[in-house]
Amino acid sequence: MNRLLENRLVLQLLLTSAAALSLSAISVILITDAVRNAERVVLGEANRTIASAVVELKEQYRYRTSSDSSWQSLPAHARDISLRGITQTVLRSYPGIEGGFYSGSDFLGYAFPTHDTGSSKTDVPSAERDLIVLLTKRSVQTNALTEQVIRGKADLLVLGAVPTSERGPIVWTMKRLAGRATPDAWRRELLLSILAAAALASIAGSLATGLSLARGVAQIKSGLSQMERNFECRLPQRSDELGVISRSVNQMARVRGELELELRREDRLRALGRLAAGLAHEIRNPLNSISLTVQLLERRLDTNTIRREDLRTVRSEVERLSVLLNDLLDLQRSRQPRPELQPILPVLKHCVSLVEQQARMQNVTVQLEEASEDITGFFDSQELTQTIVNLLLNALEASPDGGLVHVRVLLRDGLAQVQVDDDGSGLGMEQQEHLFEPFYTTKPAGTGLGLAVSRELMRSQGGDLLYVASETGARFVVQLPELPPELPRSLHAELNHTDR
Amino acid sequence: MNGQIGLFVAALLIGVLLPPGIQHPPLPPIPPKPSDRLAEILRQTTATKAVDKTAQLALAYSRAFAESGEDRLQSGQSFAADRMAEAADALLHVAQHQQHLQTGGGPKGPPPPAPIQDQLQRTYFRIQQADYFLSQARDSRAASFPKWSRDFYQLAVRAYERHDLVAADENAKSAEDIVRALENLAQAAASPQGGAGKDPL
Repeated sequence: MNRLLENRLVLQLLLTSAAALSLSAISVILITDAVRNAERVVLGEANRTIASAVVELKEQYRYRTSSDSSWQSLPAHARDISLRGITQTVLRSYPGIEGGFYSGSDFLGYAFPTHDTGSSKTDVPSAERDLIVLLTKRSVQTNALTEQVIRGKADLLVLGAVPTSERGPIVWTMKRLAGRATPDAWRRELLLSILAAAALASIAGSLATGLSLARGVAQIKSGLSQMERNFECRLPQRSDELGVISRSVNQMARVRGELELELRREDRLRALGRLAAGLAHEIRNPLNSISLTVQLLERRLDTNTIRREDLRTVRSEVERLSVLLNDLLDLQRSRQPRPELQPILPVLKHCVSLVEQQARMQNVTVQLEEASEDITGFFDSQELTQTIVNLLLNALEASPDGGLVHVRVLLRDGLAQVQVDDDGSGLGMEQQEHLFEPFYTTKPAGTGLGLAVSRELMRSQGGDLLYVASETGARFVVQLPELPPELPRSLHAELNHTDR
Repeated sequence: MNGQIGLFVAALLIGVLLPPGIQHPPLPPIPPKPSDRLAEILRQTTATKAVDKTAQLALAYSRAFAESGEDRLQSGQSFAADRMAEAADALLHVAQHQQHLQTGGGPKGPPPPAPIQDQLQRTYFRIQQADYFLSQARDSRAASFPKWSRDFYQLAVRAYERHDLVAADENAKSAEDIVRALENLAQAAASPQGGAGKDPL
């Protein structure tokens, strides 16, 4: 169904093409039928007119000859004059009809009073002489009105003939009609051909447009999918209207990439500024303390009243500086993590044991959910230990007296996760925003490097550290890295099975 | 001349040789010679009394065409002379129809109405041919004949409408005779010059 909806435009174009084809075919059939019907009507009318003209000529001939006793003795040229007078007069009432009399081997009294030239035509058309003679002979054989329709190269001819009497001449008439081979018919056939060609062209155009559109949409869709995975990818270039969309999307992606780069650069600068400020602050306090203690030691050296406590203070501040530097080095350390496939729960048990003493002192319970003993992960155990311990210590500090810190491991989307929950007051929006930035801390004695270092440790081996807002307190999620593809297939299958 | 003698001898022989009691068809009338015919027409144009100006005009035309016929005859155009005689005869009839109008009808008296209707229709058809025959006649003397025939036709129609059947009949005949004159003039003009040898007469 979705596929049908996606190709709706192509289907519409196909339906439109089919409709156009049907309409064209119906038009051609209707026009052809109309032309044929019109031809039949014209032909029928011509036959009736021819018959009427022939009969009238015959009647006038009979009257003319019956009132003239010397008619039969007249020479042909004299009869020709008289008969032409009859033909001229009769055929004046029959536009487009020519005719006359045929006697023996002579054409007599021929006239075409309504000829296109405006003047009466008096010479028998030579091209049709044989046809007329044949028809008059047939009419003598049948002794009745004989009609014939002849499709010539140029004209459609309708002829009629009837004998005036047993030995008298034969009356004949003829009408020319625009036939198939006339300029009108030629133009009609040309127009029909153009109509058919136009219909086929429109169908071909619709199909080509539909296919081009479908191909273009598919290309854009595929390109957008690639961009989702890799923002550096761009849509393919096209020269049609869809190409405008592609260019616009590519332009938008380019601008967005530049903006992101700019934002990242600004972020780095801000982070660097905060790092420098925090570092200065963290170094200045112990240095002040050491400086004051050294001044005091100088005075007491004069009076020989040096106390061990003072030296301890100096050493304590130096150690604090040393820890700070180690944390900084951890943040930007060069040690390569050494992840390996191993069960997670033993590592978590070890971490919990490390903070048990602290938890007891703070009257907070650390609970490790042991329902997922067989879950394995691909990680550096030393770095995971450091991260989890850091999270547990933070949770202990955030938990109220008698609070509960809950640790569990689970599989989510085929990947192992460790969740550390506390029932403290949670974090505000601003805290969440800067949580993982170096030297950002809400604790008076904190360095603000713990979470930043922990996240860096996890990311360096392909995992991550996230904060998830919770109604009951804070929840940190350690996402363990994905299994590397070079691990045996059987192991993948086994882990997937475990996942299910 | 020899032909006429031959016909006479043949008729005599048939009459002698056929057994008595057998009835045979009458022989066709022997046409008069063109010269005799023209002379007779000329005589009649003199003898006929012109009852009015129309008759006078018709007689004048008749006489003129008869004289032309004689001219043609003398120049060896016997068929043209014969046609001229026919034209003169037709115009002589016009003068005679005028006479009949004065006397209340021809020798047969007034015709019944139905044949008059048919005659008017035929006359109407004939007067439509007048212009064509005039164009073929190429004789300036006949230039007014088409109009003359139409005028007679109008008189005939009006007479028929007022139930004057004699006037309708005579005027229709005059119209038709004028067209007949034109037709004969056209036939005379169409005859081959010096074609006496081919002439059927």
